[in-house]
Amino acid sequence: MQVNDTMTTRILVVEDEDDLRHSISDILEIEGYHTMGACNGREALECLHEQERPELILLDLLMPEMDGWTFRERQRACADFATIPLVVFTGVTLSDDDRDTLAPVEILEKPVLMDDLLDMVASQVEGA
Amino acid sequence: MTNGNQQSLESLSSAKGRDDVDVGDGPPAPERSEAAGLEAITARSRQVVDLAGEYYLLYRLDTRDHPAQLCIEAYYHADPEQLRRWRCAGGPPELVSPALLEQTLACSRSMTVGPVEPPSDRVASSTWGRSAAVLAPLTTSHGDPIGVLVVGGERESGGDRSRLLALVETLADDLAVRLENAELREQLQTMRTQLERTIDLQDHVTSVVTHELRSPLSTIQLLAQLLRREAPHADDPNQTAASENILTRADSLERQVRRMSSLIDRLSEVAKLSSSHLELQPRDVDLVALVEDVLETYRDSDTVSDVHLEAPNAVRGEWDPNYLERAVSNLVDNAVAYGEDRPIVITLDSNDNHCDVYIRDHGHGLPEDEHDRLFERFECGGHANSEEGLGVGLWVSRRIVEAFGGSLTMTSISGEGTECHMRLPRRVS
Repeated sequence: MQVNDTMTTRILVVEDEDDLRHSISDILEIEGYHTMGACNGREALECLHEQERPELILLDLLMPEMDGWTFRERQRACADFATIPLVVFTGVTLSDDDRDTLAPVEILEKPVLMDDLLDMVASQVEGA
Repeated sequence: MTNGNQQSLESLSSAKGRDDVDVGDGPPAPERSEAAGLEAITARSRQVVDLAGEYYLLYRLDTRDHPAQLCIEAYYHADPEQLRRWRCAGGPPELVSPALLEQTLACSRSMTVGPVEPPSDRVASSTWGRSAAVLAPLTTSHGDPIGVLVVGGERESGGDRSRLLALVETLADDLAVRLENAELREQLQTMRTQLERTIDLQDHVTSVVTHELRSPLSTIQLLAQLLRREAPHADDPNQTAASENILTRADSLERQVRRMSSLIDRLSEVAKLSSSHLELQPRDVDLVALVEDVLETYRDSDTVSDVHLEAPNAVRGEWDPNYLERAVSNLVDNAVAYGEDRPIVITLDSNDNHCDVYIRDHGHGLPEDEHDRLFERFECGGHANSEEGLGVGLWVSRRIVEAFGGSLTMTSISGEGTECHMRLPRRVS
């Protein structure tokens, strides 16, 4: 993907590990994406309400204050944000129930490879 | 007591151990007695009382207190008015002295108390009559005292007291068995509950730990790749050495991440296989193709130089392919790890009922006294040329194969190598 194509693409990265969130954001920013960071579901909801609408959400599941499942429930309950595609980014093995509940467009299992991350983001943004 | 009563006593005595005695309206026994499944035996106690006495008291030794104390477990009085008064008072008054109860318990011998002479050598004093009572100890199968049964009252017996004494003793024996069984059931339930809690906790801890480990690994992985990406360009002659150093270190970082990731996967797998029933999803599988797929990954990675597969064109059966692949991979992993880079031979055979897979390496072999141990979790043999194992491969494979209804065995000859034999029924039972 060319930088020009990605400059306007905003991605919300929701991850409680600061280093990991920054690493993902750095990689995406180098590729030309614009990123927003949140360290839990509550902050992520605030981002959605207070900042520009992202085109994609990268979501960790196990987080303090508000976990990924609760965030997803709240996000889908809000008409303005319900359709933003979600990529689950987790070290947890998801059950079938989790997959049904979260309905992600993609699941990335930790530890993730940079190429896999970028390919996935590119395919989601291109397909949007 | 009348002859008719004596006959009834005999029939009661012959009903020992049966649960078909009519409980009637139920005794005023505490709820604990009902929960312990003592209804039938306490009903028989009431019948004895109705025939020969006025009340019974069942004392149980409560070992939760120190020192252990005798507490009323159940009671009954033939006179409804008297029974009502006992109920209103929260239980019967002290009809037998604690000293006598403790003496019965300590001596593990029956006794009667009352105003007349003893009818047998088992009786400490007096006979059945006004204020008489029979005290019989309750002991476990190991001889430990657990309670006392008292049958007493003011009724003139006039009959065969030794027969009555024997009947009360029989009742006491039955009660003891039932109380002991109830206690064992309670202990079993407690242990089961604790075990379930432990397993739940283990699952939770494993889930949290593996998640917590995967996040920092992700960070390291991504940073290593960023490092590689941002390394000085190798074409720049002034930066060649620096670039090579950075790339070499990035390679090392990524290699360690892969290793740790593999260990975490293994730990998660062990936790999953340890704690839960395997949910198999059997479908039609060609075992030969599955084994070839497994071997292909080894050939691609250059870790195996010489593998021979001796198999018919196809061996079909109904298995869960994901678990089966895992079981086969683990065995090939072991053959690679212990095979000293010598040829590995895999042989498949089958008949109408089952399939056999033999995986043979030509390494040092394993001492026979280690074979059983190696099927346990976190056990490794000597001579492995890999440091990455957790020592769970054989255990995982056996767990999977047994879930399929099959078996996994190992034979090994020192200096000649090791052969694992996996036998799978054609269909998961």
